[in-house]
Amino acid sequence: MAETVRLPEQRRRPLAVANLPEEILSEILLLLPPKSILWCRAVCKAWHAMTSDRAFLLAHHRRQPPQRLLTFVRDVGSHDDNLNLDVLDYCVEAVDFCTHQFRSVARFTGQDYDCSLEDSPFTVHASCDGLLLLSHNKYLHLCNPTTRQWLWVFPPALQHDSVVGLYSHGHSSEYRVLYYREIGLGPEFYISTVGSGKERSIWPHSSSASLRKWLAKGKEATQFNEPFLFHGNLHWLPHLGGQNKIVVFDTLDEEPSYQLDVIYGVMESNRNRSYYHDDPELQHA
Amino acid sequence: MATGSGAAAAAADAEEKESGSRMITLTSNEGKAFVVTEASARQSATIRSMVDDGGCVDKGFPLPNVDSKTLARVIQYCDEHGNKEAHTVDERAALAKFDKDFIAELDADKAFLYDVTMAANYLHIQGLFALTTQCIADTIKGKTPEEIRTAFGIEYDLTAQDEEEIKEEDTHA
Repeated sequence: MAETVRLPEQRRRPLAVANLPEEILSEILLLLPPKSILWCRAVCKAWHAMTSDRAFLLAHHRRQPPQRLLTFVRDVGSHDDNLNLDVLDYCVEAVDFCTHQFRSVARFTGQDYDCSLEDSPFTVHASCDGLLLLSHNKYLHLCNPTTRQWLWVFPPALQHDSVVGLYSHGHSSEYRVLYYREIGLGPEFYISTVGSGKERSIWPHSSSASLRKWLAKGKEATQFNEPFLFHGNLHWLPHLGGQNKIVVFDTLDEEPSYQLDVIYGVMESNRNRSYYHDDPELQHA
Repeated sequence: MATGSGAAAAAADAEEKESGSRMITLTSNEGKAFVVTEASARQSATIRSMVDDGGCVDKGFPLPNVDSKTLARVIQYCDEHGNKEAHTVDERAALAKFDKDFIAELDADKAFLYDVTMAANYLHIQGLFALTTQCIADTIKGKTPEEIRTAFGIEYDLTAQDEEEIKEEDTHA
């Protein structure tokens, strides 16, 4: 079903947009919004390959404005009146604070759940490089909302594991999940490379005393607040009323090897949680 | 913009040197010489670095990847942006209007638009490259795969298996 339509003037030569060098075509596709990228993937083999390339997707993600993600569960009513089941839309949407608009990032439809029994079965655990780590009914998936590719991630097993963070490991182009498991004495920390099906325990085998102390405190507070990625490493802000250290997980060495003192002046004067440094010479505790 | 034989270009070059503003000769792959002001030529990062390195300014710059028709159009852009000031609001508005008309005209002839895009890439003319790529991107934006294939004369070559994969992704919409 080959179809070639050209204006009369252009018929004299075979040049089409597909004949543009790949580097230029890639520059053009990078200018498109995520929805257009999705459609470009179904144009032809060459475009599909180009928009599947990790470097392309990363570059595209970095051009998108940073946006806050919100999750919703919407009741869209029943499709069948005989069945007394409501159909629910599970959505992740990005909020653009400039235009006050919501943009759909990921969405899937499921059946009703009994919200009196437990929390929403749908959770976004972490994000990294435009990828979302989310779960529905304890099944964990890594999803690229731009290409709508999904990958089942196991381990961790959400029945007994809690996800802490997602990061890309150095330049190995691997994504890894950091999580902990509650067993008896305290949490045990693991790393799993997405797609490997294997896990590796990183703690309590750690030699870092400060880390041990922090983990113990984290356990006491029974919460590891959400980390954020900064310069590729995972950072945790101090707990309210807890210790005054920012904890950094070095994603290359895979050790939470150092802690940073919080500079109070900065934290107090602008309460926007931004902190101070851009200096590679971090203060090691 | 002046065009002519190599000798005429050299003469124009010498004349301009006396008046204090250097002229630079660009030669298309068809051997046609285009004499432009240095300010105009400096819109191209490629030529700018060659000029600054003290390269062959007198001999001119042969451009084996650019044909005459394309080069003429590229120079039209460079002349406007290189030779005109953009300090006041009015001046900037005039340039913006020039860009708008320039790209509207190019957009009517897609093959030519791609030629100009490739030349802008080759010569590293950032503003022109941004203008043409954005124009092509705007054509793609909001179109279905079928409409994109029609608009750009792309042959459909996805196998049933590819299609199945893409459909599979789509069901997660």
